[in-house]
Amino acid sequence: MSVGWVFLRYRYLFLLVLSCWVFSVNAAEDMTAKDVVSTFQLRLIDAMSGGSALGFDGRYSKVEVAVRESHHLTKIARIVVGKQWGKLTKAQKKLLVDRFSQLIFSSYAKFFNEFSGETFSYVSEEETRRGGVIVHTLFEIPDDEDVKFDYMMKKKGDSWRIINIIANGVSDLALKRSEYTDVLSRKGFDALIGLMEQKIVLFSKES
Amino acid sequence: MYDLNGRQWWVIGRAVVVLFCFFVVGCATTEKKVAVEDPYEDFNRRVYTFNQGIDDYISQPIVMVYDTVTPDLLQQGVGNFFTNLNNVQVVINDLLQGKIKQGTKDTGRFAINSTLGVFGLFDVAKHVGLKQNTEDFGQTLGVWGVPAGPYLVLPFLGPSTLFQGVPGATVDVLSNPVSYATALPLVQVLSAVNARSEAEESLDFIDKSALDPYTFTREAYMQWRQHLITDGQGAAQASFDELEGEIFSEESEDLELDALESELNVSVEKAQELVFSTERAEFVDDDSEVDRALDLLEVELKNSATEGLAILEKNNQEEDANRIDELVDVPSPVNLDQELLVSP
Repeated sequence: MSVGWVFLRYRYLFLLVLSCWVFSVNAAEDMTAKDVVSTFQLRLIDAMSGGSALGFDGRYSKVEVAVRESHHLTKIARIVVGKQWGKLTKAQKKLLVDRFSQLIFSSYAKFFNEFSGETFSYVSEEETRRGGVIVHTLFEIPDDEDVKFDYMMKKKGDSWRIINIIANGVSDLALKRSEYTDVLSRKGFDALIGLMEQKIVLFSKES
Repeated sequence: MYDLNGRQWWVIGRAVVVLFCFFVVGCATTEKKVAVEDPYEDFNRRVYTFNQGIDDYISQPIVMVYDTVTPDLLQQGVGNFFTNLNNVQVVINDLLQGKIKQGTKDTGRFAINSTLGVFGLFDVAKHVGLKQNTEDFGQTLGVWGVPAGPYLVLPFLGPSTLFQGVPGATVDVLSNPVSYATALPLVQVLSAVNARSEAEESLDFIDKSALDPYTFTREAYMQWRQHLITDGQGAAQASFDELEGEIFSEESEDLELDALESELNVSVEKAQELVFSTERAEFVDDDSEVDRALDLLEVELKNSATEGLAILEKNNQEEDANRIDELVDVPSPVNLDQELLVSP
C-alpha cells in the first residue's frame, strides 16, 4: 500500500485536517487584545472554580497555561529590574525570567484559590500613543465593590500580550519595578532570586 | 467683611494653600535638594519596623480577639456606623473640591443611613444606588494642586506624605465626629480596632506576597492616593506613559528578549521531555525488571525441575538395580567373568 494510495484514499480527510489547522493558526493570530484578556480571565475563573478540589498544583497547571499564552513574561521580567537588566549576564537573565514566571504562576494559584460567583466584564478599550492598547474591565464580586482591572497590551509578533495590570489604579508593573530594583540595589541579584524562591515555596506550602 | 460665597472661599483657600506650598517647597529646595520620592527612607524604614512591632504584639492580638468574639453581622454594623460618621468629612471635602452633585448625593447617603439605617448601623443607601465615596482633606489638597511631597511613615499611623498626608490627616481628625466623643473613649477605641480589622486582609496580603514589604507599601500607597485624587481618570494611560520608554524599547532589545524566551521555551520543553522520558524509562524498567525476574524464576524452575527429574531418575535407577539384585540375584559381569574363570 503506497503513500500515494493512502493520500488518494483519504484526501478529503487530509484537506479537512489541514483546513482546520490553518483556521486555528489564523484564529490565534487574529485574536484581538480584548480576546486575549477575556480568554485569560475565563481561564482564571476556571482555576478559581476548581478551588481546593484542584489543590495548589492543579490551579498552578491551569494558570500557567493561561498566563503563558496571554502575558509577555520575558518583557515584564525585563522591565521590573529596570536599568539593572543591562548588568546581568545571560545566565542571570534566564534565571530571573524563569523564577519570575514561576512566582507569577504561584501567586495566581495561591491567591485566586476560591470562587464566590465573581465575574469579569468588559468595559471599553483605548489605544495608546505608541500603538499599545488598554483594555478596561471590571471584576465584579457579589456583595462587594467592583474592582477596576485595566490591562496594558503590547503586540508581540502577530498576537497581543499583557504587559501590565492596573487594579483600582495600582499598577502591578510599577509596583514590582520599585520593589525589584530596590532589592537588587540594596541586596544584589542572588538575594533577589533567593527571596523569589522563598515566596514560591511558601505559596505552594500554604495552599 | 466676611460676605463671601462658598466658591470664593474655595478660591481663596486654594490660593493660600498653593502659596503656602510654594513657600515650603521653595525653602526645602533652597536648603537641600529633595530626593526623588523617599528622601527620609532610612528614618521611614525604622518607623515602619517600629509600627510592625506594635502591630504584631499589640494591634493584631486585639484584632484577633475582636474578630473571634464579635459576630460578623455585628462587625458589619460597627463598620457601617463608622463609615457613616465619616461621611461628614466626605461631604465637606466634596464641597471643597467643587463636587456639588456628588456632595448632594453623599449628604443624602448620610441622611438615609442615619435615619432609616438606625444611626448608620445598616447601609440602606446602597440599595437605592448611592455608593460610598472616599474623600479626605489630603485628596482635596491634591485636587487643589498641592504636591504630595516626600513620603513619610508616621509612628502608629503608617504611610503618609509631608504636604498632603500630614495636613490632610490633621483636618480629617478635626472634621470627624468620632474625635469629639471624648466622653466615650470606648467609641474611639472601637473605631481604631474596627479600622485595623478592616485592614487585616490587605496587611496580610502585603506580608505574604511582597519581596520587600516597605517598598511595596510605599509604592501601593502613593499610587492609590494618586488614583483617589484623579478619581481614577487617566490612571492607566499615565501608567503606560510612565513606563512607555521601557515597554516600547528598541528593536534590538526585543530581539534579545525573543531569543531568550525561545531558549527558555526549549529548556522547558526539554525538561518536560526529560520528565516524560524518565517516567517512560521507569515504566519500561519496571517491566524489564519484572520480565527479568520472571525469566530468572523460569530458569530456576527449569533447573529445579531438571534436578528433580535427575534425582528422581537416579533414585529410580538405584531402586530398580537393588530390586533386580535382590530378586534375580544375577551376578555382575565382573563376578560372572570371575566365576567363569574360576569354574572348570
